[in-house]
Amino acid sequence: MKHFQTVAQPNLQNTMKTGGCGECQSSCQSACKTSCTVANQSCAKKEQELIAGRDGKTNRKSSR
Amino acid sequence: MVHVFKALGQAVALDVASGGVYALDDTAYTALKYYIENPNASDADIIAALQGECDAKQAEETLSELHEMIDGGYLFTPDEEPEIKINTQGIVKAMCIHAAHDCNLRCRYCFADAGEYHMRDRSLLPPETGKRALDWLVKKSGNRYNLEVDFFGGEPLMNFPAIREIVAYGRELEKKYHKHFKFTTTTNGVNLNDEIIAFLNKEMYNVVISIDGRPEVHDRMRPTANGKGSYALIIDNARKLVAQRKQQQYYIRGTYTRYNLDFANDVLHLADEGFEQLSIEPVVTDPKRDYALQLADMPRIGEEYERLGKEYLRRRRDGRWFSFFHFVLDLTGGPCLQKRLTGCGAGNEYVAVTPNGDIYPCHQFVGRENMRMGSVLDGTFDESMQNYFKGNHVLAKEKCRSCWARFFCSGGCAANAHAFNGDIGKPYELECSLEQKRLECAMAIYAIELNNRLTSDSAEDNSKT
Repeated sequence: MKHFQTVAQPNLQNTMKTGGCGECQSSCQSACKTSCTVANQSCAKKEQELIAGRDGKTNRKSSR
Repeated sequence: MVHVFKALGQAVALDVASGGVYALDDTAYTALKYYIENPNASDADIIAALQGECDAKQAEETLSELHEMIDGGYLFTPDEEPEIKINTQGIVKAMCIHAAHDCNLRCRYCFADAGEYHMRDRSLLPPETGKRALDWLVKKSGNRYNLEVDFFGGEPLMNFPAIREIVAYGRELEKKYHKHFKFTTTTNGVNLNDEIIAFLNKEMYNVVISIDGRPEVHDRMRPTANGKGSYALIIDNARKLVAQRKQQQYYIRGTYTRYNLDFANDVLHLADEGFEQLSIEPVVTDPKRDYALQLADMPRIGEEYERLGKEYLRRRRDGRWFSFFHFVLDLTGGPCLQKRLTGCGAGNEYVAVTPNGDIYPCHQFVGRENMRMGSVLDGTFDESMQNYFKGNHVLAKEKCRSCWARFFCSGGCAANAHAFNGDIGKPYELECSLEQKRLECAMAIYAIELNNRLTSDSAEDNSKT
C-alpha cells in the first residue's frame, strides 16, 4: 500500500490466548514512580525469546 | 474505535481494540478522518473531501486503500470486551521497600514529605523487617519466578547497611524457593560512593537516580537540608555509576514543574551530560502550589513534548542516541492484553512496605488514612482491599472505557486518582491529557524511525545491486 503503512500489526486480542503469565515488570517500578505507563514495558516471554535467539541482545538494545 | 492524529508532523491511525498502528500520508489522513467524522459518507463524498489535496488518480487510490484497510479488518475492529482473568490466586509479586523514612534532601515537591510520609515518622527500616518482607513476598508469590523489589524512601541509601543485608538474604531465598529477585534502588545520589556504586551495579537490576536536569532547575527544587543546591553533590556520582554499568538498566529520573515548562531543555541537558536512559516526569502535587501544573498549561506542555520529540529524532538519527521513557513504546513486543487491563498492579500484585512493616497498596498510598493493608510482621493482609484494587482494571473505569489510550496507560495511577478525585476508579484528568500527548508523540516517533530504517535498508539494497 502507498498511503497506509502498517507500523504495528493488529494482534492485541491474540495476546489474550498467549499472555497473562505475570512475569513482566510492574510498570511503576521501572522509572516513573508517579505515572502509569504500561505499553512501554516489554513482554517478559518475548524478551526471553529474543535473548535466546539473538546473542543476549535485549529488545531495547536491538531497537538502537 | 479508531484514533487518528498528527504528532511531530506524522499522521498516525490507531485501531484501538486490535492495537494496529498505521502511518498515513496526507491524503490517507484526510480520507480516514473524514470517514470517522462522517460514518455514512459515500465514496463520492470521500473523493470530494480529498479535492484540492491531490489529483483524481491519487484520490481514487487512497479511497481504494481505505476500503482495503476496513474490509481486511485492519481498522474499526469491534470493541468487544475481553474476558477478564486477573490474578485469581491473590498473588503479590512486586514490592516497594521503604528502606528509610528520612532524607538528606528537602525537595520542595516531595510527595513523601521529606521522607516522613505525613506520619511524623523519621525512621530507618530494621534489616530484620526487610527480611520478613521478602519472606512474605515469596510466600504470596505463588508460582511467579521473577519478583521485583525496589528500595525506596525517603532516601534508601541512608540505610545502606540494611539494604546490603536484605539483598544477601534475598539471594539465599532465591536458591531455597527457586525465585529470582530483581532488586532496584531509587536514590537521590547524594550518598553514592565507590563501595555503594560497586554494590548497586552488582546487585541491582535497575537503578533510578533523581536529577531534574539543568543545575539551576534541579537546585531550585532539590535543596539539601541546609538549603544549598544538590546538583554538584550528585552529578559526578551519577556519571560514575552509569559508566561502570556501561549505560545498561538505569534511569536518570527528573521531575518538571510549572517553573520549567521548557523541560525539553532539561532532558537535553542530561543527554548532553552523557546519560542515555532518561525519564522526566510531571510533578504531581496540590494544585494550589505555585509550581503545580495546571490543565491550562496543557497546550504549552504539548508543544514542549513535540519540541523534545523532534530533537529526539534528530539526535538518534545523527548518532547521539538516547532513550526517553515516555517516548519508548514496544509496539511489536509489548505487553499482552491481560497486562494492559491490570496496569501497574498497585494494591493487587504490587505493594509497599514501610520501616515498621506496614503494607500499603503502593509507595504513594503510604500514610494515607484507611489505606493500610496489613503487616509483614504479623502476617495480616486485607484481601478485601486487594480485591478492591484488583477490580479496578481499566475497563471498570467509566472514563477509560471510551478512551483511545486505554490499552496503553491501563487506566492511569490509582494513587493520583485517589488523591485528586477520592476514588481509585476516577482518573486524574491532567495525567490523562499528559499521557495521551506523550503516547501520540511516541507512536509518531515509532512510525518515523521505522520508515527511516526501511528507507535506509532499501537504499542499502539498491546500492548492492
